[in-house]
Amino acid sequence: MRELLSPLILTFELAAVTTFLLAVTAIPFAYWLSSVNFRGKSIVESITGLPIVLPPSVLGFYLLVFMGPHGPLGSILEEFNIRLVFTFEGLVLASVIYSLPFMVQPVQAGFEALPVSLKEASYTLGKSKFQTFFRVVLPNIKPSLITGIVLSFAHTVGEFGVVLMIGGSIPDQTRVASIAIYDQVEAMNYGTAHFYSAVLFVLAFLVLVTVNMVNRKISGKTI
Amino acid sequence: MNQLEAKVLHYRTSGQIILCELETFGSEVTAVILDSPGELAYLKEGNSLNILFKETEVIIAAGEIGQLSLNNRFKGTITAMEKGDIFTSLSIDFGTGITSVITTKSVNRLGLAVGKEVTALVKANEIAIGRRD
Amino acid sequence: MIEIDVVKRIKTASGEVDMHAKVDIEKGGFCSLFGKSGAGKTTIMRLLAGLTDPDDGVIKISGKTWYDKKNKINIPVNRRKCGFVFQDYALFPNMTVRRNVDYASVNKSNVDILIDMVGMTELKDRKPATLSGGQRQRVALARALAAEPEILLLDEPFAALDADMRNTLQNELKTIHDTLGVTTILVSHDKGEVFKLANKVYVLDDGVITNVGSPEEVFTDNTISGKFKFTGRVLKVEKADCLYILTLSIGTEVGHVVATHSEAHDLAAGDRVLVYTKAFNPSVRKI
Repeated sequence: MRELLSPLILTFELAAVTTFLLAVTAIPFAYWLSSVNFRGKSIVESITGLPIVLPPSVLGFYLLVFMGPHGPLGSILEEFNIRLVFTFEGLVLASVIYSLPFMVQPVQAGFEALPVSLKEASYTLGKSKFQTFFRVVLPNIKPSLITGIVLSFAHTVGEFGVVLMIGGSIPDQTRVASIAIYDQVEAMNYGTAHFYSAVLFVLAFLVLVTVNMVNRKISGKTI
Repeated sequence: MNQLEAKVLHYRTSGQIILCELETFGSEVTAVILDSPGELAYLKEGNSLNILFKETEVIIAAGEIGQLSLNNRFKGTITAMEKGDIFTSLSIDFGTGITSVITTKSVNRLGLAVGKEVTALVKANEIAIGRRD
Repeated sequence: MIEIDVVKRIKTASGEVDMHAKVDIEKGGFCSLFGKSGAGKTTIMRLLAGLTDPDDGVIKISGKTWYDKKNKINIPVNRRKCGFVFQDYALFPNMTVRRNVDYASVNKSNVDILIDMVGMTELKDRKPATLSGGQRQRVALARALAAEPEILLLDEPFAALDADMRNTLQNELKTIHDTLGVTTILVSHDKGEVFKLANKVYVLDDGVITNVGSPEEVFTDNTISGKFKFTGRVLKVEKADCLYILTLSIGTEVGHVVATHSEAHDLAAGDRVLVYTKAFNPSVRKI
């Protein structure tokens, strides 16, 4: 049983850690992008959005080269006896990069749609940028935040190409559900593959229904 | 307040009193005002300005006018009447519209009615001038 | 005492101009910036609040320097204590009426007093989205006052309201100003509003201050000749026969004037009017 559930537990661990890291890094990054205007902003936005259009295997390949023991990042980390490829930590880093646009884009759009006068009003009321961000800005883009968090989570659960390249298929380490399904199908274990698939299928559906209901409630419509 | 466009023909002053000769819709108008021409930038010969006078200061004459001191005479037709118990408001057209308010008693005495030709008379010192914006 | 002497490049209807705004306002006064839209009125308020930086100049409030280009002083918005009431009210949608005011409040015990002052006690648990324009305006005012501002800045606060609501809120604002004595600057393009509320008015046209003075001095200009003209307030309009009788207060006296339909049809109690007559008409007698 432990062995059977391991890929599912690993998948949700990976998605949870990735989403948490994205929330603390990508939300401030999206806020910064929404409030600045500089030459080359569209280039920064394009780099952020690359994972949406690139084949996951391409991204996975370059991350493998970059993070591998002989890559620019990997060779430095090697000095500290840290290895990223074929480890859970490496998987988290790759997932954060891979899911970045799914957090940044909806949240940035949310920030940009918020009337500037709300921020200005808060400043004129004597509030700092920090207070304004947490008490006025964030609470008023709740639908965008939920969308960003759910999309990042779901996208990390569903990734395959990048995970395969960076993590391989080490049980309890890097063998997440999507890899496990592939392995089971290859081994002709359709029953197990079906079990993993059905769990992901039902969960994905439930998550989307919940998000839609929450967003409708926030925007004041009936469910 | 009746307000009509008028053109300044010429003016002369005596102390602070100004006598303006103007022309409005084919009729000559004389206005006497208390002011200094220096303060009235729009008071220039050939300039357009507004003349203003209160409806209750417009005298109505029907038929031939004998010898009268009044300079300002507008010969026109009554186009509308609003009769009250004491006062009646007359709309008169002499090329443009003006209003006169006189007693209903006078209206009845003169037999005034819509379509009747009358002359509206205004004393020169009742006419104010104003800038046209 | 507010002393503003700044230069700011702004876009106006007739292209880009360097607006030179020199504005002095007494402490506790009620000043109005009057002019067409795009004349630079809102920009002056934003410069004062610190929401926009001037290109050059100095802003001083009660001897304290808020902005000084040469000495590189620029106090940030949140330390300037300017209560800004925005045209779109800018109420926080995630907070109830009470929490909007509470968020801004310096002294928590004043929150309910302020909400009561603007007549919103019964609606204090509602969210802004469920309020009418006039109600939102009231909350925005209470919220701005809760921060205990040195200066209250109102950007066309009543422009989006209907005439009745505008009149009511103008009266309330007047009362609040008289009670609290907070220095107030009102951006407006409504002469009646300026007359009613302000004791000093700056007229702006394409970024240039073209006239300064009391509303009487500024608006009662030489468009009509005459040595006998006064501004008064309409107390009562009554129809009498085919005429109207106006009861006017002029200075400290009350008088009556006969008016015709064309003069009186758009007048209502509370309106400011210019009363004038030819200098030939009044009679005098020694008392």
